[in-house]
Amino acid sequence: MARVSVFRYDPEFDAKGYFDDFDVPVRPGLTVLEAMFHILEHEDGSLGFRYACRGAVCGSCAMHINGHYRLACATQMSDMGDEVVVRPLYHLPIVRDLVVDMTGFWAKYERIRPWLANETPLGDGERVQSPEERARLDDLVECILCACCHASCPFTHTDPQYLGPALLLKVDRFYSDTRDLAAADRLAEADSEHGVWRCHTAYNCVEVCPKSLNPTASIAHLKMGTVRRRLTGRAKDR
Amino acid sequence: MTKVLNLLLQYYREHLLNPHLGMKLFLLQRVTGLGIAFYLLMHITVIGSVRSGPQAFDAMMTRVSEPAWLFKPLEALLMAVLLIHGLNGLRITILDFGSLAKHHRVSIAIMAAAFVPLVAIGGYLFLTHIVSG
Amino acid sequence: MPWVLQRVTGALLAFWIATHFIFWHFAHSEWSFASVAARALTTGSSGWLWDMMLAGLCLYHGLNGVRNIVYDYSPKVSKVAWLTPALWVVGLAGIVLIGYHLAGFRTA
Repeated sequence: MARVSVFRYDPEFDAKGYFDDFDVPVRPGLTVLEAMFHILEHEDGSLGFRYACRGAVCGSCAMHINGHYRLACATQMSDMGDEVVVRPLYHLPIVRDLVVDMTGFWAKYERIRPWLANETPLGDGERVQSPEERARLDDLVECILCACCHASCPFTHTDPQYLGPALLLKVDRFYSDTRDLAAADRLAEADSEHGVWRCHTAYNCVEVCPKSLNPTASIAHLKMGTVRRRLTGRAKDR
Repeated sequence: MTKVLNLLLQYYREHLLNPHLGMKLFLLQRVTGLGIAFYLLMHITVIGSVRSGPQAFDAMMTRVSEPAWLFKPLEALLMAVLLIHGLNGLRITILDFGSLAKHHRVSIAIMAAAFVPLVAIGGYLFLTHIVSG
Repeated sequence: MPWVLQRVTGALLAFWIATHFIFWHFAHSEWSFASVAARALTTGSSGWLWDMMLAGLCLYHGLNGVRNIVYDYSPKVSKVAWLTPALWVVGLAGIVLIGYHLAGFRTA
């Protein structure tokens, strides 16, 4: 048995948020997301939360669980102990209970032009990349846009337009891609008012990423790139 | 002033949600930075007393060093604050070189390993000053 | 650019402040007009120059830090466009003031 305290808030009826406590029977292998299902089916059918794949690849079930932003489907109840406190992602408006409004996050995503910028005609039907060049992208393509890092970064709160760790990692993903021809534009986006300069290396993003990615390293890479471009005019680092 | 405190408080609330070492060090860096800036203002004012003549300067120097039991610990505190801000700043600068940003945890361990002996030596020297008068 | 300079001044300050602190708190703890003036005289006018450079580094690093803090909270940098020039004015005024104070130790 575990005591699960869930953040509840319905903007239509509640002046502010509060916590509801539920007792959930824990069996080996039960995830926090399954505990949420239990509450939904047996205790309170009005609980609101997002989920989709249940396999830690879609990023929908990101929430704050016992001091850490995590994916609910990838978190074992047995690892959380007897008291589990669940809150929604921070720095985004709350729609209801654990559901947050990701519109602002997606708007920022569109801002960084998250597609491969290469209009040149395809030669033999593919753009050739060496294994080493592809290996540089290994960590960067893994991001599932769950927004755990964005929620944990203190600077996305003080500057709501700050791109944040996830999106700057995305910028780095394209900047580091040898097939992308817009390196200078990527750096310009990073160098902008709400770009890399709002990062003060608090490293919360690295601590919470469910995929063990390192946005701070990406941001440092972009910072180095912008400095190189300002000093030497060269955009690409290789 | 209260606005600054409120802003720092907001960072502290964030920290409660994310009680990670990196966040604590960021908060420390901001707070010690502002503290040192404030000290600098006082330092400039104190040294500026020389403009009222050598005797005025000597009198001011006496005012900021006696009683020793009060001022030596304050100096030790200043030293600790400077060490925290300085070592943490060096750590951040090194981590800012892209490829080294991966080694976050190790860097904190190294910094702590440097901080402890330095602050211990400094503290010891200050204490012996108090003892010797 | 400011980000680079913040780190460069920071690194320089780390060592410079360390020597400054060790000199005045450990190696030499008699604080008086005579001892400060003696140092200015023995190191010649360059002693004064070293102190001025230290002051310049401190002011740049500190005021740039303040600028960063304000930027973190400003929705648009253009709304605080007055900040950078204002901080430069404060910094230059500070350097002038410190130079004026340090000149008070020149007995020659």
